[in-house]
Parts: sequence; structure tokens; C-alpha cells
Amino acid sequence: MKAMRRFCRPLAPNEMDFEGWFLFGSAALAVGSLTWLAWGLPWPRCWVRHLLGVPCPTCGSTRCALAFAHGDLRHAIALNPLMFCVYAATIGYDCYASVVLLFRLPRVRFESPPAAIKRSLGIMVAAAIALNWFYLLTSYSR
Amino acid sequence: MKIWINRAGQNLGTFTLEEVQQRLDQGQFVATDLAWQEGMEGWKPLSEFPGLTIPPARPESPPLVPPAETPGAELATAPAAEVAPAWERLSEVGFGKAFFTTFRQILFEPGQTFARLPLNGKLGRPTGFFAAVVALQLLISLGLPLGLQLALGPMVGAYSHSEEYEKLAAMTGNLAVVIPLMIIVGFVFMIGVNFLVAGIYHLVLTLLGGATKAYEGTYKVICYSQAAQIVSVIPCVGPIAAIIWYLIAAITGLQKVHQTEGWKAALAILIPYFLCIGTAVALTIFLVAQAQKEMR
Repeated sequence: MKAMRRFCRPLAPNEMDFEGWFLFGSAALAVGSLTWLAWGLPWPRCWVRHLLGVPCPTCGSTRCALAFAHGDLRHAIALNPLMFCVYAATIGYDCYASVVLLFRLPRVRFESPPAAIKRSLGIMVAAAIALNWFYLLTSYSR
Repeated sequence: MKIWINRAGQNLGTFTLEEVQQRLDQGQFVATDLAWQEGMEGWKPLSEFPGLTIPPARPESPPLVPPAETPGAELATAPAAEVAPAWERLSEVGFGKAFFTTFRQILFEPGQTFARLPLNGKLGRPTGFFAAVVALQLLISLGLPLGLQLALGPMVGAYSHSEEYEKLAAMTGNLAVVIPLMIIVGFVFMIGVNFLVAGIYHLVLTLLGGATKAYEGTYKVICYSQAAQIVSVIPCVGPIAAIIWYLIAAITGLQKVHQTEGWKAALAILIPYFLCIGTAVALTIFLVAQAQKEMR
């Protein structure tokens, strides 16, 4: 299977600054959510768990984020492993984005992936969600 | 070695030198398109790119802009070439006109509007429109009732007796500070959520093989489709109508911007909806049916 090639290139004039927008969007989401929670304002509850008594694939995301924010990584992984990976990846990407924005460095870009790679990625994402849900269901029943 | 091609901020893909030359000869690329390859410090127009020959201008090619001196030409052709929605021309049109024209365009002519949406990499404009819509919504749905309650005192309305109110009041002791703070935090939160939602739609569209443009295209569609949310201020049917209107605008937008099949655009929007809302509705129906059965 042909691999995706990685490039480090400057942004073209008027090209979307993905790193900048990602950093802004994720920071806005994090600051907004944490302030909202810190004020003790109402937070949506999981209706699947409420009605059926079983967790949904995203159950534990908020608690995972809070444990993550407090540095309790073991607890964060136990609450929702997939969301833990998403938060860790977001922080990693935000660090990279901050560095390239601060030092005006070239941006990492990948060549448009072939259909086979796109399909494989899709299957991997679906499998990760399914595995995570299976873990949540089994850990909840214990 | 692969060459990246960019036109007006939009990446057209990576090509070999031969492929670029072929597309130049066919008229798919123009001399002003920008190119970059490994080792270069910055982007260069194709006309200055080494190893390429720019074909002479084709005499049969129609001019991009009609000559102004042709009587009626400007009037006849200007609307077709005009960038849409009007918010994208904010500086020329002015805030008020751009804001309300964009609402009209997104609500009543989404197909034509999104077909003329420029993909130039600038996300500030759509984010600004989304922020303006959210601000208007927050003012109407949250600021107005809370402001009224603040003015009329705790004897009116249920919110003043709610647990949240008590918590907030105990925490700050001053609702006049809390209300604007709630609006600001809610505002920032919704802007962040919008980036995430657009990302989810784009991911699903990519998995379906329908994403032909970058994330910015999807993001712009989602921002401008929020115009439909204003319908939610209509009592009773408003919220439902707003959701339906939003779905139609967003699906049409994705179809036009990504030039993909309607079903792919629809699935990209509806799959996350089905997962979140559709299942909830189905479960509610199931539970109501169960309760009715037990009652019998």
C-alpha cells in the first residue's frame, strides 16, 4: 500500500491557517467548558445511561477531561480510553501549533491519501470506537 | 518530485512536473496559480516556476470580466460573478446589510449562495457571522428573559427559584455580573463547539468519499447555515423548524461546496444527528410504547 508522504512547507498566501484555527477552537472549547463546569452550571447528562443504565460510547468524557486537567492520568484513562487519546492528541497538536505559530515555522502537511488509506483509517476509527464502547460496557458491569 | 498547487488559498493537490505542464496546456491551471516543492522557501506563480512552459493565451477563451463599456453587460453578468453570501463582502456592503442579506440568502436560496462561496482560506468572516448569530440568539433566548427577571425581581419566572440561580447568586451575589459572564462563556463555548461539529461532519464526509475540498469549506457551510437557527425564536414550532431549515441549508451547502452527491452530503450531516438525536427519539418512542403497554 502506498504511504502518505509528509511535507514541511510554508503556507500559501490566503491559505487557511489550520494550526491557528485549531488552537483557537480547542482553546475556546476547553476554556468555555472548564469555566462552565467551575461555575457548577448545568451540564448535559448521558440519556443512554440515564434511561437504559448502560454507558454510551462517549460516557465519561467530561470526567476524563477533568481527571486529565488535574493530572490524574491513570484515572482519566480508566474513565474513557478513547477520549483520553483524543485529549492527549489535541494537546500534542496544540503544542505543535503553538510552536509553529510562535516561531513562524513551515507547516507539516500530508499528500492527499489514496482511497485505500482513507478506507483503512475509517475502519480503524470505527474499530477504536467499538472497542472503547466494549471496554466501557464491561468496566461498567464490573 | 511532487509539486503543490494553490489557487487563491485553496490547495488543488500535488502533481508531478509533467502533470502540471499537462494541466497548464489544457487550461486547468493558469500562470498565476502558485506552486511549491521541497527545497523552495516560498510559493511561486507557475509563470516563474522552473521547468514549465506557459502556453500562449487562448484567443477563444472568454474574458474573466466583461468589458465595462458594453451596455448592460455589467448588470447582466455581475450577480453571477458576485461572491456570496453577502457577509463575505462585509467591508463593501456594510454590517447591517451584509448580516440581513446573508440571512435571506441562506434561508431562501442556499443552493445559489453556497455555489458562490469563496474558499480562500479565511475563516474569520464565517466565524464572525456565526458569532453574530450566536450573540443574537443568546440575547433573545437567555439575555431577554434573564434581563426581565432581573428587572422585575424574583417573584416572576421559574429561573429565579432554580438551583442554578441560587448557586450563581450565592457565588457572586450579583446577577448583573453573572448574566453577561454566562453569555460570554456560552459564546466562547459555542464557537469552540462549532469547530468541533464542523470537524465531525468533515470527517464523516471524508469517510464517505465526498470531501473534495479542505475542512474550511465544511466549516464555512456550517457557520453560515447557523443563520437558520434564528427561526427558533418563533414560538412553538420555531425550534423544530430551525433544525429542519439548518439541515437543509447545511446539506445543500456541503453538496455545492464539495461538489458531491446529495446523499453523501446528507449522510455526513445526518449520521451524527442520527447517532445523537435520532437514537434519543427512537428510545423515547420505545419507552412511551412500553409504558403504555404496562398501563394496559
